[in-house]
Amino acid sequence: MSEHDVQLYKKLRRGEKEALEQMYDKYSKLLFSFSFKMTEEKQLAEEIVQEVFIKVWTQKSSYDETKGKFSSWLLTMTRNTVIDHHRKKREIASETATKEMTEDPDPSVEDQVEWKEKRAVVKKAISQLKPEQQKVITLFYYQGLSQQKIADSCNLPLGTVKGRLRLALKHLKTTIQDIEQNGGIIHE
Amino acid sequence: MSDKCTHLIDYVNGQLTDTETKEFEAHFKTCSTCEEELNEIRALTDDLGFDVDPVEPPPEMKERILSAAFAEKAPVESQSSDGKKPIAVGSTTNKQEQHIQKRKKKANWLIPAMAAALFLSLIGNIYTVSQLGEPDDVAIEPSITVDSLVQRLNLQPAAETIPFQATASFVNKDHYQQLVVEAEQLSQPEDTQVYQVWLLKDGEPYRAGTFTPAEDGSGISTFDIDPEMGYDTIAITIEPDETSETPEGDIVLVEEL
Repeated sequence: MSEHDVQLYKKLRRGEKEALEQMYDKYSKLLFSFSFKMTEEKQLAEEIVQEVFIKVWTQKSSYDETKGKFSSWLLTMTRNTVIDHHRKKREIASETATKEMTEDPDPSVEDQVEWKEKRAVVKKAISQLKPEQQKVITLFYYQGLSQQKIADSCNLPLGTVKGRLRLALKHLKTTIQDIEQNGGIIHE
Repeated sequence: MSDKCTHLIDYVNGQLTDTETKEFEAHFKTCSTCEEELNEIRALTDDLGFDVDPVEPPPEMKERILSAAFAEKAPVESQSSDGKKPIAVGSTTNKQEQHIQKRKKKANWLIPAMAAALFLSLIGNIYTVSQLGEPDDVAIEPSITVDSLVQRLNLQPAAETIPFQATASFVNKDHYQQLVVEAEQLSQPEDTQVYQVWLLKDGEPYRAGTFTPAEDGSGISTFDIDPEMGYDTIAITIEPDETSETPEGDIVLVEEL
């Protein structure tokens, strides 16, 4: 968490509206883009982001500095909110989501440096994984599928999904660290 | 490894039924393997969220979301209906900072005054004490009254480390005045401890009444008071029990009237 985020979060906890607005300006595009990637519906993506900001404002969820970066906490909360929504939706059993026009006409993330840098690194790292590892990570993390569906999509026995996923994630993490330290040269 | 360990992925992705979720959570408390694996998955996915292509949110989204958030209860601030600025310690503007420093000075100055009052003063002239949850001795005749708000103010924490917030409202009733104290973020008092509201005049404390907070740290209490008494300060202390006739505990919130 950057120094600025620390100050901002403290102000927010004291109920300063400007702090929430600044946080919105800084993170809303990242959270909206992430939420959209998971839901593929703009209106739903907005609802999710709204729910996240309400949770932050009302302190229903509170950030603990010892548990990692502030931005990662926001993303995790967004992911959990999407999953929670999917869970409720599953009960209504609707399959109407259609993919909307997704790309930003200006695919730059210059307004959020951390996002820009991390995105470049993670993209590069994912591209260096085997296709089946990329797939298992996408199905698990972004689509939030059940173990059974991941097994079906990847032609894996149900019992091996967790192991494959952990292996793929570990490989990804090592690759990310390598890229960050050595500019992308993978040392086997 | 238990059978339940196989549910970890579905738990993380919210794919379990309510019953299965409860069963898994019960299992999770006793299974170090699941705990380690969950922590590992969380740590390993920490950066993944950044790998998204930017999508421009609708331009009106900001207004919609902030309005929706601000319509909810703020985390700590006491919203006052008379337009008074809520307590905003450490705010960015000079004006607010000056305001706060002034407030702090007042609060610090009042503490020795109250402490002195503890030793010098015996209980005197309590007009009435009534509180929620305790039946009044006298039955109240049902009648229609037109209430009017006389004054509403935010109580200031007596120390920077105190997170409590409270407002005090003085409401004119037909023949008397009612004091309504609403507090938030209160910590639960220990054992027999209670929160006690005091009204002071020239440093002499009068016990207004006692309350304990709800589970969520909020508390509300109403007291009937005599407007003729001309109180100049209101304070809340934590008392060892509800029998304190003069303040014995620490002041947590205070404000001049």
